[in-house]
Amino acid sequence: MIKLINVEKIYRTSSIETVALNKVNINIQKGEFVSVMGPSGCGKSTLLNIIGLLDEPTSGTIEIADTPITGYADKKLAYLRNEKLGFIFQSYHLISDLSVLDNVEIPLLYRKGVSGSVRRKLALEALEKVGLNSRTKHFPNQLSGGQRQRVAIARAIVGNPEVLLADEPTGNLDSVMGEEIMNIMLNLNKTEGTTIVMVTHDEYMAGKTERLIRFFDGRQVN
Amino acid sequence: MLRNYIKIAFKVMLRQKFFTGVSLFGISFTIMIFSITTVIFDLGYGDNAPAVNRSRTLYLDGISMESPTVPYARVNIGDDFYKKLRDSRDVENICIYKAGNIRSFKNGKVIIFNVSYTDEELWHIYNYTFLEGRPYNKRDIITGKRYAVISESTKKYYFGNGSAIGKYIGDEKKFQIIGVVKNKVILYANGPEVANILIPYSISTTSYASSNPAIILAKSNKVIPDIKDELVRMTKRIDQYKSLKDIRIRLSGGTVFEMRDFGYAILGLSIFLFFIVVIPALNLIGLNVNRISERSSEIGIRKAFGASSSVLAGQFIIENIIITFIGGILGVILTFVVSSALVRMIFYNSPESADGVYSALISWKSVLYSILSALFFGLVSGVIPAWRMSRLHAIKALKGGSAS
Repeated sequence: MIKLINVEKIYRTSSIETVALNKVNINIQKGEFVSVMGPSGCGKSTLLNIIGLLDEPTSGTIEIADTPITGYADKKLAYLRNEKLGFIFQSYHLISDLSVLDNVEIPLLYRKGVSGSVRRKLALEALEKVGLNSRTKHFPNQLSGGQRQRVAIARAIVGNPEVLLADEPTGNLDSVMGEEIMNIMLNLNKTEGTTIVMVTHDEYMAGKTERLIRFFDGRQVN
Repeated sequence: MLRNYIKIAFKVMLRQKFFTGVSLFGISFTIMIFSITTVIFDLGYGDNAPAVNRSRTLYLDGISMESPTVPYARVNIGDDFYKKLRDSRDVENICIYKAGNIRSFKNGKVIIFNVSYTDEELWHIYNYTFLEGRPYNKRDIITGKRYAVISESTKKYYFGNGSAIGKYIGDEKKFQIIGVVKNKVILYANGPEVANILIPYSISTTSYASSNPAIILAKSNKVIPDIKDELVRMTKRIDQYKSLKDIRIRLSGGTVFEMRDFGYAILGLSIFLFFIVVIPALNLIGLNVNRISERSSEIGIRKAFGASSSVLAGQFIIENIIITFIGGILGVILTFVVSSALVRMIFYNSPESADGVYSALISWKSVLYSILSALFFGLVSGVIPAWRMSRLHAIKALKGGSAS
C-alpha cells in the first residue's frame, strides 16, 4: 500500500545540513496498523509528512498503491491527499470558526461532484462512527479535547480514505480519552480495513498496533 | 463550497472587528469618492437627459471675424444663415436659442429666473421628460404665444404642489405655463438646459437678426470638423465679407470635449482615480496579508485535506470580494448621502434650493460604478495576499508559520 524506497530528507541552511531521514525503506501493507516510535527529532513526523505528501523527500521514491509519487504538481498532490489520505493531528487542527459538521465536511468540499446534501449525509455518518452525532452544531471551543479529536477523526475518515496518518493522536489527551481515541482507530482498522500509520511516544498505545517501527536519528532501527 | 466560503468570510469579519471596521471604512469611502468623481465626469461629458446627444452636438456661441481692414467684429448670424446650414448633409438638426432672464414675484420678493428662448427644435435635440402639459410647437412660435415650459423645481418653488398648467409666471407681461419638465442635475450646462424656464423664441425682446447661439446636432461626432469648416465657408460668403482679403473667421464654442479640455480632464481624472483606488488597495493588501497570516493553520488544514494552492487563492479572493462588496453597498449609501449634500451646496443660492427636489448625483450609473469599483478593489487588494498565502507550505502553515 505504502512503499518508501531509499527515502532521504535533508534540511539545508547556509551553514548546517540536518539529515531528518536517512535511506529509509518501509513497506506498509494494505489494512495494516503501524505505529512509529522514537525520541523527539528522530524523523517520525518528517516520515509521516512525506507519506502524507505534505513534504517531498530529498531523494528516494515513495509509492502509494503501487504508484510512484514523483514530480507531481500541486494540484495532483492535493487530489491524492483528498482521495487517498486522511490526517489526524496531535493538536486536532479544527477550524474554530466552523461548526463540528462544517469541519467534518472540509475534505468533501474539495472533491468534485459531491453535492451539499451528500456532504452533510457523509459527515453525519462519520460523526456517528466516532459517537459524536449529537454535537454537530457545536463549535470546537465548546468541546473537550477527546471530543475534538473525535471530530478530527470524523474529518479524516469522511472521504473514506485508504490510509489514515495520525501524528500523536493521543498526545494531548488523558489516558481515558486516549484509550477512547485508540479504540476508535483500532475499530476503523478492523471493520473498515483502513491502513493506519500512527506516530506516537506512548509505548502502551504502540503495543496495541500490529507493527512497530522504531526510529533513531533518522534511521529505522528495527 | 461557496456557502462555506461565505460562512467563513462572515465569521472572520466578526472575529476581526477592528480590521473589518478599517477595511469597510476605507472601501466605502474610496468607492464614494470614485463613484462621485465618475458621476460628475459623466454629468459633464456624458449623454445625459435632457442633453442626450451631447457627444455629437456642436455648441455654437457665436462667430467673429477679423481682417486687416476690419479689426474685429461679431458676425450677425440669424435665421437665414441657420436655414442654409440646415441643408448641409452633415447636420441633423439645429436649435436656435437665446439666454435671458425674467423677473417674477413671490410673497413680495423679486425672483430672477434663468430663461432660454428657443425654437421648437429644442424638443427634438434634447430629451425632456414632461411631468405635465406639453412643449410649445412651431405654431405657437409663429403665432407668438406667450407660453412657458418650466422645470419641476421652479414649479414646486413658485406654485407648490398641484398642477401649474394654465397658471402664469413673470411680472408685467406674464407667460402662461403649458408644460412642466423633470429636473436633472446639470453641473455643466452648455445650452438652453441651464434655464428654469423655456419660452418660444419669437417673443424674445432681443432681435433675432443679431448673433444667435445655437446647438447644432451633427449626424455623427466625426463630421463636426466638417460642420465647422462649412460654418467658416458660409461666413466668408456673407455679402459684406466677400470682398475682404485675408479674412480670419473664429468660431466660439465647440463640443463639450473641446470646451472642457477633455484630454487633460481624462488624464487628470484617470490619475486621480488610479490613486483613489490603488493607494487604499495597497493598504488593504497589507491588512489582508496580516489577516490571512493569522489563518495559516487553516491554510495548512485545508491543504492537508486536498485544497490546492489555486483553490485556496480562490477562497481568499472570494472572501475579499465579499467584504469589498459589503463595503460597496456602504459606499453606495455614503455616495447617496454625500452627493445629496453636494447637490444642495452647488445649488444653494438658486431659488429652487428651498424645496430640495433635486435628484442627487446618485443614479443607476453611480450604483454600477460603485459595485464595479468594489469588485475591482476586492480583486486588486485580494489577489496578491491570496496568492502569497496559498503558496504557504502546508507543514509550515500547520505550525502557524508565515509566508516566505
